[in-house]
Amino acid sequence: MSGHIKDLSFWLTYRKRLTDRFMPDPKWLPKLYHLPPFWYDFSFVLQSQQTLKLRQAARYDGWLVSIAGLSNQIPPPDPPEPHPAGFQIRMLDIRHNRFWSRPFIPESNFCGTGSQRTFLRVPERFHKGDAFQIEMTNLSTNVLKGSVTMEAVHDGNQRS
Amino acid sequence: MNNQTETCPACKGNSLVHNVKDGTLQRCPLCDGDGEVPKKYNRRPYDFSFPACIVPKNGQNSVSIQAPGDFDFEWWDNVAVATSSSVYVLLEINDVRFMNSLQPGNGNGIPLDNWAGTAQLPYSRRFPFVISARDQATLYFTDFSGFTNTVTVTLKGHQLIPAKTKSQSTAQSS
Repeated sequence: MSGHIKDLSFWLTYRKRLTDRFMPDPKWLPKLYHLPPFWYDFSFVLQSQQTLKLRQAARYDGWLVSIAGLSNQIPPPDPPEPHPAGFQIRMLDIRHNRFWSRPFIPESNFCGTGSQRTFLRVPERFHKGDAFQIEMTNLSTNVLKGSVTMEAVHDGNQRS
Repeated sequence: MNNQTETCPACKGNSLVHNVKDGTLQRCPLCDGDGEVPKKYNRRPYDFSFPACIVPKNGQNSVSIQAPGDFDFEWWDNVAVATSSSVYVLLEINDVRFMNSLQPGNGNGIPLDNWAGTAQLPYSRRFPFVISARDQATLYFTDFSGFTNTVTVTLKGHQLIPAKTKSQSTAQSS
C-alpha cells in the first residue's frame, strides 16, 4: 500500500537523524512493515582451522533483512604482517542453490555487528522449508567460538 | 484487513472511485486500489523496558513484563546493558518465540551482542513491529561467562495513539 510511505515519511526522516545507518527502502517498506521479526542464529565452536557447515530450515515464509556476527577472536587492527584470525564464511543462496560468494570471505566482509549490522539492500525472499546454510573456517590455530545471526521478518505462514 | 489498516475513506473499500470529470470508474488514488489504508497514528517516544535480570553463572533466568494496556507499542530498536557479553537472549511474546529453531549447538537463543546495541548505537530494526496492548513479553537469558551477570533490556519505539478522524473531530466539536 502506497499510503504507508506517505504516513511514515515524516518519521523516517526523523529517525534518519537519530540513526544514520538507517536506510529505508521505500519499495519494501509497505510490504514488510509491522511483520513479526524472527531470528536465525548459528552458534558454533571451531577447532584449529576446522571447517564447519551448518544448516537450518525456515519454519515460515519470510524475508531476510540483515546479518550480524561475532567471534571471540578479533583481528589485530594494524598488524605488521598478515595474521589470520577470526573465521571466514560463505553462504549458500537459499533459493537458487548457489553460493553468495565462490571463495570463503572474512567474517568482517560478510556480516556486521549487532549495533551495525549488514542490511540487505533488497530483502531476500525465502519460503518455509528453504534452508539457510553457511560454511565457516577457523583461520587461527586456536579454538574459536562464534555466532552468525540473521534477522528476518515473516508473514505468518507457518509450517503445520 | 489486519489491525493496522482501515477501510479507505475515499472508495469505502471498493478500490474504485468515479472520475469527477467524466464519471468513469478509476482506481482509487488514495489507497492505490487496495481498498484499505494504514490507520493514522500519533507517535510518541516510548521505552519498553524490562526489569533488570540477574543471570546466575552458567545458568538461566527469565524476566517478564506485560505491555501497557492503554496503547500499542511500535518496536524499533533493541538496546541492552549487561555486565558480560557472554549472555544469550531469547524473546517470547504471548508464548511465541521469535526465533527459528533451537538446534544442536544453539539451545539458548541469540548472543546478546548480535541482538541488542546501546543507546548510542542501537540495534535498529528496519521494519518495526507492533506489540499490542496487554501483550505478555518474556526474555530468557542464559549465561556462558561463568559469572553471575545482570542484564537490562529496553525496546525503544513509539506509543501508537490512534489519530482522530475528521468525523470524530467534528462530532466532538459540535
